[in-house]
Amino acid sequence: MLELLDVHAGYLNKSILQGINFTASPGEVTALVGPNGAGKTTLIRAISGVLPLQQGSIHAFGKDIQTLSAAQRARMVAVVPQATQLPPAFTGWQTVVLGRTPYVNWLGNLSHRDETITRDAMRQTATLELANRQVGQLSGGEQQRLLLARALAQAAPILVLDEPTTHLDIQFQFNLLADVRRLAEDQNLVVVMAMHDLNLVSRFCDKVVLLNGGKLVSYGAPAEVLTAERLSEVYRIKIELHPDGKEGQFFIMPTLD
Amino acid sequence: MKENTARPYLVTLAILLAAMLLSVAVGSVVIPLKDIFAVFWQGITGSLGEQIPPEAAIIFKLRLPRTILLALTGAALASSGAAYQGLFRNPLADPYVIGVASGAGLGAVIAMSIRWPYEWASTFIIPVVAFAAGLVTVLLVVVLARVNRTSSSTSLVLAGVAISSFTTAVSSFVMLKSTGELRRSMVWLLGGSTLSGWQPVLGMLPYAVLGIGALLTMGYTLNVMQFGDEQAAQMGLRVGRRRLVVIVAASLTTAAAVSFSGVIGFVGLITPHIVRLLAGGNYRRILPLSTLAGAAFLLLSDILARVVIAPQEVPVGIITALTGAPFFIWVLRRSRPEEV
Repeated sequence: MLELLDVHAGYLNKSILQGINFTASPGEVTALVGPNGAGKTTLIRAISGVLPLQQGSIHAFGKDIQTLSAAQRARMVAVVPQATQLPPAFTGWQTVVLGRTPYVNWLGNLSHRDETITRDAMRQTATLELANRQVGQLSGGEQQRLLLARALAQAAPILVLDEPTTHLDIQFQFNLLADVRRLAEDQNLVVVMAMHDLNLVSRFCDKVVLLNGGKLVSYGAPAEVLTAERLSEVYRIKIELHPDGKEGQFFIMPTLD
Repeated sequence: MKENTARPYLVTLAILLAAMLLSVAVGSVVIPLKDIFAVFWQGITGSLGEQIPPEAAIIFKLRLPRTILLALTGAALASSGAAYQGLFRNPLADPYVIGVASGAGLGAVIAMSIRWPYEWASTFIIPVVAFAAGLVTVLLVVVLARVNRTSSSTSLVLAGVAISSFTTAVSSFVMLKSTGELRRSMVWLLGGSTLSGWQPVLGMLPYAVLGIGALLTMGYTLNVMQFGDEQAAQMGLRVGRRRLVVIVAASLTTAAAVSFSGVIGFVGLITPHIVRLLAGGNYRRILPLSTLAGAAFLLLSDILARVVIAPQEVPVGIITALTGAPFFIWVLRRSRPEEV
């Protein structure tokens, strides 16, 4: 359970997030959506604990994340960042095993358990065959899967993803989100994910948090939150929903007047 | 998937031992290896006798302390260079480029220009002052390089070069103002040890052991930090504290080298690069391998410095600069734009 209570956060004296409240539950995928500058990335930084809150609190399974040490927090919340600039000389294994950072000592000596969990995380993300390859030679999709594996190796009950599909083609987008969906269900993870593509959100997510200008506009199931009127207002462009044949599913399309 | 192969360590160690033997053997008098081993054996068994043979005197009083001092210096410069490159994620960072060496140099020059009541006092005080000055310099460079709360590689190098020039100028000024110690400082500035015998070895040893020892524990930290401060924090690292440990340890190590061996550039830049090319990107390997390889590199440079215009000696800093500057340009040109 991830609970946000009246979260205010920002940079210096400027407040970007203004009073965000929502709860994300285990086994469910919650999407953070909204236009550029709505506060999605700021919210992810706040949940991961690297951005101190100006007001309010964030509780991870009852624990206030602001009172936790860096290692304790990393055992509760794992982050999948956007795959930009990974150290090119690292191998896949070296990248994923760093997910064990909150559990290892100063020298980073790995226990048998650390290695088992790392290998498991790579198996679940189909990255085992990348273990001995240099990260610099991998595709964007492979790099993103390694970062997902690294977050899984952190063995945290809350998984946070920052626009994980941004640099991926539709095949990788689809596979990655299907993986995330399956992991949330199999491991009962709380998954929170910043997303741009509303069609993928409606297909893969259980809950949607719609942000605009640092405020929460709407929160609930995709069909409730993603209405044509609301989206048109928030994105300031005329948006129509078209049913795609399956029950409750629809396409979200901007239209030209 | 694990890569704890011992081979790179054994190869580097073998090169280092060979360089040390060569360093003891080569000079105005060439001592054959067989005689070196004989003298060592006699020294260990205590059978040198009353009349110490001239080779033994050369080995124990001159060549062996010089060899150990240079090995320690090379190890110190290369390990701190590797640490700075890892910490700042910048292939051009080394103790000289980011200004810590010239800052430590200024501290050393100021400490040398003061007439200390006892000779031994200067041996122990110079590195302390150099360490303090080096630490202040690197912190100043880091602060100056921060633009909009982040420091790019470019701004770091620019700030380092600017501060470096400034402290070097102040060093020159202090040397001109000081009287008796001028010659000593000048030789030192060119990267030649002014002290001989065991005194500088004993003076440097505690600082070098402490500094290098601390750096060798930071390999995992540097691995995590390759992903940037934010991701490192999200992986559970206390970034600020770890970074401070690396900066303090690397500055102490640099100060130890600069205080006793003077200004020797490029060892800290080249060695980690060569190690990285051969052994990959893992700092748990880069740090110890750079330490060993830096010692070997400086010894081999010193051997060259002794023979190139024998019987005269070239300050070793000139040799490392002659080999290092072209390498620096090569690194600069092959780096991707976003890294420089």
